[in-house]
Amino acid sequence: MKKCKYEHWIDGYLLDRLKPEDQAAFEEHYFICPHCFAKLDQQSEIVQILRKEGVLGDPGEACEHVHRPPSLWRRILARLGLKR
Amino acid sequence: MTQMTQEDRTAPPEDAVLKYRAVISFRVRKALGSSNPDWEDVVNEILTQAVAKIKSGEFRGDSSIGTFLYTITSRRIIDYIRQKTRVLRHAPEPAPYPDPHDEMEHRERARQVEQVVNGLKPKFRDVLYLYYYRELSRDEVARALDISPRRVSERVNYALKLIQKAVRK
Repeated sequence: MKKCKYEHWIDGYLLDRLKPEDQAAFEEHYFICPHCFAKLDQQSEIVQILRKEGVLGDPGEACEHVHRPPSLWRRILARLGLKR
Repeated sequence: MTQMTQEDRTAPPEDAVLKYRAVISFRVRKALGSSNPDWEDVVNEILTQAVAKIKSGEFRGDSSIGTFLYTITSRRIIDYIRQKTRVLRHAPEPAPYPDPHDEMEHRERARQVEQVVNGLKPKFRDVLYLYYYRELSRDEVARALDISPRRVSERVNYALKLIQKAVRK
């Protein structure tokens, strides 16, 4: 399928990381671009699953899906000043 | 920009507008939150309003029907949020009941995603974990893993492609 020049905004849009003007432009765009909308629709559910369903683990508990313990991640991110 | 097609012009307004139900629903759910019980009512109001505007001649086809519907949708969302901000100060609404069929399909897709994620090499899982779960930016993930931001994008895209392939309907 042909790639659309707006396609690279899909991820940022779903993660609310676009600038407000880019977000508005992308929203207007996917109303007229079935290709982007189909990708957006599919990716939206995947991102939702990755963020919320425990697929990637809960940093508060040991999780079998993440090979590094959450406590190790916390230490790494804290050391880099990236703790969220 | 895509203009209204010949087929759209000759089809009854209801048919032309209904083709956009999915995209309007997506936009409304993104803005209002998919657990908001009002989203379907808002979508139906937008569709009704659009059909009425086409019938009354307010939409003359100068822009594409997609752009026309985008404008109506955006205005309705703003109105809804304004109204709701006033109402919510007094009474928060209870959570809606999920549709059991949708819920089952969603669980199945979550299982498929989990299967793919479990089969990924640790370097891909690390990137997904930090980028989607810990919500770090690409640059931050790159710093945490000591790789370039470009490499982060490549790993995210590779993992997403595998997941998309597995859950493709």
